[in-house]
Amino acid sequence: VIANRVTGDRLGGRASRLAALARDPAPLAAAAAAAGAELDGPALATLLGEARDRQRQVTRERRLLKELRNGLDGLPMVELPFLAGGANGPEGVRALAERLAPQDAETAARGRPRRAAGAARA
Amino acid sequence: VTPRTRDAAGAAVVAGPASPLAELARTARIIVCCGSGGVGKTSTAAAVALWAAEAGRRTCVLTIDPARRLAQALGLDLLSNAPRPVRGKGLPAGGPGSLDAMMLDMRRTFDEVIERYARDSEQADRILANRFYQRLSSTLAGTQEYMAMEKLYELHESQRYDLLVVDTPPTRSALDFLDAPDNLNELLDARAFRLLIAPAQRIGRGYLRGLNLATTAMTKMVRRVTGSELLAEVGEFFAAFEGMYDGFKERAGLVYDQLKHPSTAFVVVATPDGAALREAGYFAGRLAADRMPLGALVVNRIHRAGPVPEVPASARERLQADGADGRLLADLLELHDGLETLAASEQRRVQELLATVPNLGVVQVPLLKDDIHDIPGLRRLGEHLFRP
Repeated sequence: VIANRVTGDRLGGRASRLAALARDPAPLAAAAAAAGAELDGPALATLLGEARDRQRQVTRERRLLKELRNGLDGLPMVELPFLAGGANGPEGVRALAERLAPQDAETAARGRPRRAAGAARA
Repeated sequence: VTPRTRDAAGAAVVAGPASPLAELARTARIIVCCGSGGVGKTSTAAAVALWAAEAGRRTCVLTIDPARRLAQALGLDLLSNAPRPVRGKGLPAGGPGSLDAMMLDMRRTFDEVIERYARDSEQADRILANRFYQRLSSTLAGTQEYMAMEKLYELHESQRYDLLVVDTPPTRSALDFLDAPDNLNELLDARAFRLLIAPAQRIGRGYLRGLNLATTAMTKMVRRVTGSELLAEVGEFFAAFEGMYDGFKERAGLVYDQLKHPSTAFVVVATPDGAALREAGYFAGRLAADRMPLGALVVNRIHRAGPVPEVPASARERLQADGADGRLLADLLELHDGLETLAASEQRRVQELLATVPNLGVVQVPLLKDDIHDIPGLRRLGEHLFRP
């Protein structure tokens, strides 16, 4: 089973800090000031709001994928990432293909991906 | 003005003049929500129906989707083949408006149509007991859409409702909804086939064996749609069905006429995904070609990025090197950049579609934080649909 367009969890465990930082963004404001990034309160609130929305989406997808996996009775499942620009060009298609069948150096040189052991056949 | 307020005369008023859906929900008799699968048709249909009901119209939302999405969206355990009132879920009681919901049971609707329009109970019984009919009524591609037309006709004729909102099935292509009645009518009205089969009724089934039917295109078609050898039953079915073809054709014609009437509006639902928008574009073109009234385009799950000043690469590098808070902020900026790119590409695709369909009203609904599974959720969606 191939689960398409899975939202990447870029923040990982750090997402647990987002709610506290939304209430008090002082640590981020200090980091911005130290780096010379001109990010005021509203801008930080926007960044944190967007990150929290995305994290909700990640959490929701994790739950749905877990439900799906539980119902697959051991069938292999591959997750493909969401690509903002779609997979219309060769690069996008290659990125998805590599997730389906990771290439080793030899097959990459031949330009033909190797089917991963146990991977689902398309 | 909100959908639950009333004007000086006490009449309910639908708000949101900026939304092309507002006028449709106030005046249309039939709204057909269509589009490819998984774009939020059911939720959109339910939210439009709820909005109209709360604005004082007697409304029925009809879903053809067997996946129970409408029941879930309305917070109901189940829906049946007859309209049922949606009550006790936060809907205002005592107003002029009402909301009923139903889920099409294709087989039951077909049975009801047979019972209603058969010459007598004997003819109805013969058809209902026929194995080919039983296959036809439950498995033939397009039957679902055809029965939706029949149900739409029945509800429209009953005059019980001011507005019927139809949630079309998640078909392979949204165009199937328009094509299915013709396709099924073609089968039922296959005069050549009936002529071929009719003698079998008079001289017995040996006639069928005598003819090399296996090689005929018609036989292949029947085999394809039924998936089994039922030729004798087919002959009996068409014989029993005699006299009902014209009624089917006539009602399909009436529904088609109603769908073309200015009091009907097709609402094409899509997501900003390229494939869904292409499908929406094809559907809009097909509606225009068939002179059917295209009311609006709803694009669900739109991404939006807020305003954030540009942060130069040098500052981002310093953030990455500045401990946990700096790295987190740098990642938040990366996420924002990705969201901006995504939002821009979605808007580009939407504008490309709109360029091909002049004067089409569009409503863009942002990606909502929660799934919709109750009346308050539908109201939240309604706020975006009617007051974008």
